[in-house]
Amino acid sequence: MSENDQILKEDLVPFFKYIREQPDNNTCFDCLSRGPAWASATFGVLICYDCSAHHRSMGVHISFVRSTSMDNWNIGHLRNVKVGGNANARAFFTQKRAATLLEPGTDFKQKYESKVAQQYLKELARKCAADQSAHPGREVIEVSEQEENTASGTKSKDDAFDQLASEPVQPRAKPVTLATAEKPRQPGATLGKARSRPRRRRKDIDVDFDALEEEAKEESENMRSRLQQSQQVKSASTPMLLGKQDPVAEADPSSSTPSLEPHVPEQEIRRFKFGQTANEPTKPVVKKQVDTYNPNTSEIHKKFANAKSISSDDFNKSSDTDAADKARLQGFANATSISSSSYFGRDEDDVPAPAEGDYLQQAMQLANKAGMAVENMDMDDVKIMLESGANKLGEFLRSHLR
Amino acid sequence: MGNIFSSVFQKLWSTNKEHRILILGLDGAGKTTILYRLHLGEVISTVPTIGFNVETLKYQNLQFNVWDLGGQTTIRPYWRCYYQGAQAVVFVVDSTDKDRMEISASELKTMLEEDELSEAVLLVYANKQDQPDALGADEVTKALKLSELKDRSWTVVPCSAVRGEGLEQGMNWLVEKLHDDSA
Repeated sequence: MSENDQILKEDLVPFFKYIREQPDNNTCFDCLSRGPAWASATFGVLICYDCSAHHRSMGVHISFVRSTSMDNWNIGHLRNVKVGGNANARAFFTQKRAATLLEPGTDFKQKYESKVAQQYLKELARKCAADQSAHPGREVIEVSEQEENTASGTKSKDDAFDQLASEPVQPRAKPVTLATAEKPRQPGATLGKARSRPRRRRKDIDVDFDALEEEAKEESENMRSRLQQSQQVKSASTPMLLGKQDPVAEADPSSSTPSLEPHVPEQEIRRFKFGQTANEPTKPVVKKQVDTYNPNTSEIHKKFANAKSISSDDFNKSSDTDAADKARLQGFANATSISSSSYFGRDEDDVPAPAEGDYLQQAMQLANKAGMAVENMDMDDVKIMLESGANKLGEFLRSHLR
Repeated sequence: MGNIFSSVFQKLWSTNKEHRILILGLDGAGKTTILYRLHLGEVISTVPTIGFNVETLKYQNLQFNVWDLGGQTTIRPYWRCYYQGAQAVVFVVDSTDKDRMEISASELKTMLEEDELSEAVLLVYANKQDQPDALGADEVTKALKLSELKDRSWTVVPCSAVRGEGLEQGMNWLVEKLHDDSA
């Protein structure tokens, strides 16, 4: 095999994207884990990183392992993956009553040196021969590309980022978003998924800034139109101007802007503009975000302009609490241990002394009790109770006055 | 006078000097298995190396700083980042992988053309000799066109990393060569 037979990894990105979209190819053929990025080129099945190690240890004469993202491939091996795939291999094993070999945890040598596996290799070779007559050379991957393009419109895709790329351009999706979506995608199913989230967020921010810019433009337009209010002729030209400068209108004519008709009186236009801002639920929120965000960043920038590193401690500590902490800690200069209670000045041993108001409250409670009890008691009992109560009260007062 | 002193000093303290060694070769040739067989004396189950493994080995009073770099097609271009200061290259080939001998040979050729490796000695391990249809040392020598290497000390040692055969022989050659170089 010469180097010329090798197809460079860069050319394989769309091919493997297409391959991964085929049924069962999004799980490892051996252990069923998700997002296999490796393949047994011999058997044309997709496998995970861990299982690729087992395949390699068997030797290239049993299974030749390639990475779908880090290796060049030769045409024959690509054909194996194209006409084979996990679903076909599984179907073959099941059909030959060897489904037990497909169970995760099966010994790899037992599985891939089995009679069924040998039969499958023959089957694969036959399919490849058929495919070869149709696509003898490099077309193997190019055909897949075409198939992918035709399928992309209808097929629901597994990859979140692909969905993002294929979904119709939203009215608010401006050129910025388009550019993001059209960036060359990275290989690897897991990679793509991991990337999709931050990109989405970025897109939102981009769009929001655009919206803000738009708003600012509208405001300046408003100002200008107000200045020109006396001149009725010029008021009609305002929406035209808006239409030209508004990127939304340029991006998609079916967006909300077409309701702006050039001959609508100025008053109505202005009302519409305010309405537009209110109707879009994200706009007020966005405005808030940006308002709070900018001063914050500038503050951070001022604070840490000369710092080499920023730790969470540095970041959260404000200068006055810092000073208070220092003052507190100075008191412990010679102490061997610091507990939280001593640090905050609480005295653990001292039971709080009751204030004078407490005695009065106790007496009141006592009197209340007595009053309630009166109904059910004899006068004598009441007398005794009152006497004892008075005595107690007197004792309390005496001890307190002392 | 100073030179004599320094050379005597170097000989006495040669154990302190670390030799930088690179283990290179195509993916699945057995580079990582060889590294850990030498380092730990046992066969570990390896996964494809994405990036590198580095270990310090002590062999016959010599310290080796051994770098095992991943062999996947698209990470081979990064081997060159590790060339500087390497005194030896251990090139591992899968002796059963006849289909890719040619690719192996071209990778080796590209590598040895680099200036940074002009002084490095070359040890080729013809690995996987435990397999029945493994190529012998002579066939590997021919396939890798080693005879074309005129200004370099090189050797091909047949070995089996899983059985531990031949590895020592290769290391002995390396120690000998590195001693010669430093003397």
